[in-house]
Amino acid sequence: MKVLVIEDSTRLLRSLERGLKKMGFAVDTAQDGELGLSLAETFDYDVIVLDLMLPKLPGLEVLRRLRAAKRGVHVLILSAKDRVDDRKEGLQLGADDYLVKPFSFDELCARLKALVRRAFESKTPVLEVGSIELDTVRQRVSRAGEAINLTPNEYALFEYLVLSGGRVSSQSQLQEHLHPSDTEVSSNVIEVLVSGLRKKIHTEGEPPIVRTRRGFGYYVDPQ
Amino acid sequence: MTSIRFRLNAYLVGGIGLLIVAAGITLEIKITGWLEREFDRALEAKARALVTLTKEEEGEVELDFADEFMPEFSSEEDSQYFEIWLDGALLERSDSFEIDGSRSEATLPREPDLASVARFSDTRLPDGRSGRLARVDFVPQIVDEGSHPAGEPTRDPTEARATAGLHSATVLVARERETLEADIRRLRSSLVLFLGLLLGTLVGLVALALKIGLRPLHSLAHQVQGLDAGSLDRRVGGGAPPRELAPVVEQINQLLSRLESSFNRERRLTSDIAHELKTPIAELRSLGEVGARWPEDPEMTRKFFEDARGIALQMERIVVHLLALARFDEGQEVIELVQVPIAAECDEAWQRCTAQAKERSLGFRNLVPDDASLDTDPDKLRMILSNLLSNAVEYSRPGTLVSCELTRSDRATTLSVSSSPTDLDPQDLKVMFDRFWRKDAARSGGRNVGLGLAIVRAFADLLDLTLEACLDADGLLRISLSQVTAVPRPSTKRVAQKQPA
Repeated sequence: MKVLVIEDSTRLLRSLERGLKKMGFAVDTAQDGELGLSLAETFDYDVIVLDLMLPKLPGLEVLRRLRAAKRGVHVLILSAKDRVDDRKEGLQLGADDYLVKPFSFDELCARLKALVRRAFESKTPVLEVGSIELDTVRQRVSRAGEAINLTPNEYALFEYLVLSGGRVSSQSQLQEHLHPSDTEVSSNVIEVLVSGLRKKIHTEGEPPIVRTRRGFGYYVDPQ
Repeated sequence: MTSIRFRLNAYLVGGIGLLIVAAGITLEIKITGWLEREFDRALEAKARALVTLTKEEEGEVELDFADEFMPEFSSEEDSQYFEIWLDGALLERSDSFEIDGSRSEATLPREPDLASVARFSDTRLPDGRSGRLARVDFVPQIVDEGSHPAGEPTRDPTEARATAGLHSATVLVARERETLEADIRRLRSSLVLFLGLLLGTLVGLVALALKIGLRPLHSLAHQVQGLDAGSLDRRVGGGAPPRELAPVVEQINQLLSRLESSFNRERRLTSDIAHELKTPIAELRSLGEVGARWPEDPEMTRKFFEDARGIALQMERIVVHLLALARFDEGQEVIELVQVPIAAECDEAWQRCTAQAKERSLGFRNLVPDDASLDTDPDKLRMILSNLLSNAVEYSRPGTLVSCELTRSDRATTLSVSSSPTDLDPQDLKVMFDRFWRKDAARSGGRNVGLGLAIVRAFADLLDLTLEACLDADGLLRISLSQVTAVPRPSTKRVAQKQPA
């Protein structure tokens, strides 16, 4: 899942970036509103974490412009402003969630995952694909109660494909959602990831879970 | 609880009521007196008529009286009485003395002395009724005109007695006075009734007038009653309060303004403090939680510790500045006045900023003469200079010059710090010394929290320095501190007084 964090505090941004990456998110960061808006308009993020008091362009203005441009990306406002009016204004402008600083990192992650699920129109945190169970809260994949050890990138790829609900995702889409925008990724990284994932989740005698549509990309058959 | 309305009611009704009662009593006395005088005058007129009818002819005095002309002296009902005495003997009396067929032997009371003027007295009539008596002493008119001049019936009888051969006569006329007294009683009743009605009307009118007159006061009281901490933006008095209430309304509204701005300032300050502390706390919490969950990366952990130290320093700065301002607010800052060398203090303050100034390629020019000094508190001045120069370094355009300058005039010594800030508007000059004010609404960056210039203003007030800021057309910001020139004082110590908010 790809997250854009727009936050002017370097120290907070550093810890958030680090923590979210560890949680399997691909994280882009921006320290001012202008850069944040530019990134949000350029790339396809699953969720944007948006501070309100930003240099150059206030957070609410970033949000307003995004919504004016019909960008439906989910936005979580992360702000020290805790008044009801502030929350109301943010939510009325089109934010999907509001978290007040100081906050729990776990709560932020849970809210981001909830927004991701909402983006993929999934309400349950535990998804099932055939005999495989994907727990998006615990970030755990298992078959018949037995854990399957995936790397963070493999997990992120599998979660994205499962949440996509059978829609085909191209390599470039997968790259965009699995890696920060400023990261140079070689063209076969996704192929290597898919190959590794297939080996770990495939069972002899059963149809493949991650399938390829030649010339288009990959998908997971929800059945 | 005293009531203005009750007091005014009592005073006005009491005062005007007393006047009305006094006027009523006076009126009653005047009218009663007039009625009695008229009564007596009528009585005297009858006496005089009897005098005129009493004549002496050929040495014999007789009354030429006919009942038909004065029937009141012979009628049985409401009869009046007269007697004419001549030289101490009863000459004539009215038929009215005949009561129930028998002639009364009672006479009208007659004093022995004589007087030329009519005299009146209350008496008891022969029929038992209370009456009024008129007495006139006179010399009967002598019909022989050659002996005595006619037309002097009322000549002084004393003098007449002295004249040989003249008779002295007295006429007494009496009539009941119960009708007069009844009239007077009716008059008094009417007056009492009228006064009662007048007083009742007065009470009603005064109450109505007070209700109308005190309406603005009631309205004001109602408005003031409705005020609380949540409605300090309201103002009382409406458009044009009455002249008497205008000063009160003005004072209340001014007080409300001061309270409102004080509450707002307090609220804003609390909010600002909370906000300034929330961000570092959020940073610290996030660092702690992420660092604790993934401690395997030593480089990341080292950076996190560095960040944590930076956050601690930032929070320390906030607390130190807030405490300094709190001490100033409470008037607890002690200042010690000594001669402070300004140039050296400027150099020292700049030394503390040199590292950051170097990063931003800022130059420094100290134009303060070496021997220049100010009679001030060195610690507070150091704090002022440190804040002014660190602000100048933080916000100046890279490659520009920061300078300190001292100018003297007959009236003041002025120390100025000049710099070229990146982004400052003339309207910012009005608020730049407010607590937690920062040009950048985002409040980015951890070094400054918007309290430095507030401390400069507080300490300038403390040291009796006039603080001014001006921005010229080239964007040069000059912050000056002026001290009124005075005779140098010896070292003194005093506790600063808080400036009124």
